[in-house]
Amino acid sequence: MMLYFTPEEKRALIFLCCVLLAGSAAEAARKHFRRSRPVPGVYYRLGRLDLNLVDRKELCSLPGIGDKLAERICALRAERGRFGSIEELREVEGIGEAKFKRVKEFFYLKGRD
Amino acid sequence: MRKQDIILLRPAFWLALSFSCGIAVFSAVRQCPFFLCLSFSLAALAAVLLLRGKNAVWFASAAILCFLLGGVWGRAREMKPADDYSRFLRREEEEVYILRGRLCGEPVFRGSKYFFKLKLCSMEIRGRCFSVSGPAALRATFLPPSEGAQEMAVKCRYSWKGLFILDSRRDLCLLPGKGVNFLSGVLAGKVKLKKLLQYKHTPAGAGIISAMVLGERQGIPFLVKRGMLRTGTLHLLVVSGFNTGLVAFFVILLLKAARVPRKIRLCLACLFVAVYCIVTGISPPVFRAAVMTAFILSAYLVRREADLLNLLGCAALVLLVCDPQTLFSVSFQLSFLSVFAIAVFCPLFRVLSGSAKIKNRVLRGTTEALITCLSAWLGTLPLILCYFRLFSWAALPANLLAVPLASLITICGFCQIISVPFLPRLGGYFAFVSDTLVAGLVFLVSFFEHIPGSWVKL
Repeated sequence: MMLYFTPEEKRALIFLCCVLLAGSAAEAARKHFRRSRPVPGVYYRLGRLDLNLVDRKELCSLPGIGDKLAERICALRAERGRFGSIEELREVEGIGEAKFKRVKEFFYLKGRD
Repeated sequence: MRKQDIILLRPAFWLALSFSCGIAVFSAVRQCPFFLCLSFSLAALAAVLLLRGKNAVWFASAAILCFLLGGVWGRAREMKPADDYSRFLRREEEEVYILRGRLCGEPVFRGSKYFFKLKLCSMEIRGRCFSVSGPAALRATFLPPSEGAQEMAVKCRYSWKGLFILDSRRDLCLLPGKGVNFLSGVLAGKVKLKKLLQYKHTPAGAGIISAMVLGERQGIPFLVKRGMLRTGTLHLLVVSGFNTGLVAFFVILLLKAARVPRKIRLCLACLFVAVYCIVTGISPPVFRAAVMTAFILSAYLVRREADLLNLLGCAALVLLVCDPQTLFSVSFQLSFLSVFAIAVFCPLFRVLSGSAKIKNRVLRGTTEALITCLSAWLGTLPLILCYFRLFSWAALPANLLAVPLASLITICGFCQIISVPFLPRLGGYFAFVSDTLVAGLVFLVSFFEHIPGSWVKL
C-alpha cells in the first residue's frame, strides 16, 4: 500500500510515526519517573505567574486587578514574607469569592503546584 | 513579462481589488452619487480605449463594472437606519425586550460576567414584534450555550450604550433552526470533536490546541494570549490555510489508502474542507483558506497550476459577495494582507538574499522561513500599528521558532481527533506530544515577551 503513495505522502506518514514513537517513549518515561504526579508542575504553571515573585506593575496589567488591589496584594505579601497558598488571596481586602475565582487562574506558587 | 500581462494573468486579483475599492469608496463617501461614479468610470474607460490595446479595454471595463458593483452591493447590504433596533429602545428599568437572533462570535468572560453578541432578526416589545437587524451586545452572569445553538430568544432589559442585560438562565430559550439543520448538525459535531481533542490534555494545553484546531479561543489562559499578542504570534491561534490544507491532506491520504478514484478523492476533500470551515465558525481567515484550498484542489483536478494572487482574489471576491461589510473587519484585513505580502515580498526577498543559491538544505530552509516571516510581518505592520498600537520587533524571531512548533501541535491535534475514537491509547500519545509542544511554545512566547524592549505599546 505504501508504494501507492507519493514520496511526499510517504515522508509525511513516516514523520507521523516518528511523532507517535516519540510520544509513546516520552509518556512511558514520564510514567516511570513520576508515578506520584500525573500532571507535572510545568503544565500547571503554563500561562501563570508566581504569586511570590510577581511585581506590582505586572499585577496591575492583569484584568480585574487595579492599582489599589495590586498594592494591597504586595503589602500582604511583604507583611507575611511570602504567600503559603493561593487561598491567602481571599484575605486581601477587595477580593471576594467571585474575584478570587477569577484571579486565582493567573497565579501559581513555586513548590506548591 | 510586460506590465499589462501581469495584470491580465491575474484577473481575479485585480477584479477583487476593484470590488473592494468600490465597497470602500461608496462607504466612505456617503454623498457619492452613482451617476457621478459612472461618468468617471466611463471617462477612465475612454482613456484606456485611446491609450491601450483591445485586451486592456476589456479588462478595464470588467474592473470598472466590479468597482460599481462592489459599491452598489456594499451599500445594499449596509444596515438600513429603518431596521436599526436602537430606534425601538427606551431606557427604562422595567421595560422587558425579547430579542431573537443568532449567536455571533464567542462569549467573552470579563469582570465576572459573560458578554456575547446576537445577530438580531426580530425584537418583541410591549407585545409587538418588529423585524430588526444588526448585532446586539448582551451581558449575562452565566455562560450562554454557544455550541450547536443556532437561534435563541432572550428576555432582557436594556442598560445603556446598546448593552442588554440577561438576568437568569431561565430567560434564555433556544429556538429550533429554520432550515439550517445541516448547520446545527455540524455545530453539534463540533462539541464531539472538542471532547475528542481535549482527551488527556492539561487545561492550558486543551485550551490552546482547541484554538489551533477548532478555532475555539475560550480556554486560552489570559497571560498566554497577551504574551502572544505582544510577540506577534497570536495568529498561530487562528485557524488558517495550514489547517484546511491538513484536512485536505488527511482526507486525500485516507481515501488514497482505500483506493478511491482521484476525482472523487479531490471532491470529497473539498467537501470536508467546507464542513471544517463551518465547524470553525466561518470567520474570514478560515473562509479565505477554505476557498483557496478548494480552488487549489480544483486546479489539481484539472491539472493546472494555481497562482497565489489569483486564488487570493477569488477568495476575496467570494467572501465580499457574501458579506461586503467584512471588508472593514480586522481579521479580514490582516488575513488577506498577510497572504498578499507573502505573495508579493517573498519573491523579491528571495532574489535579494539569493536563497535559491544556498546549497545547505537547513540553511536554505531557515532563510526561506525567515523570508516568509519577514514578508508577513512587513505586510501586517501598518494594520497592527493602527489597530493594536503595538510594535514588536520580537515578532520575527518568535515566529521563526514558534511557527514550526504550532504546526506540529496542529498536526498532533488532527491525529488525535482521528485516533481517539478507534485507539484511545494512541490518542493519548499524541495528546502528550502536543502538551509538551504547547509547553515549549508558551515558554518561548514568555521568553520573547520578557526581553526588555521586545515590544512597545504606542
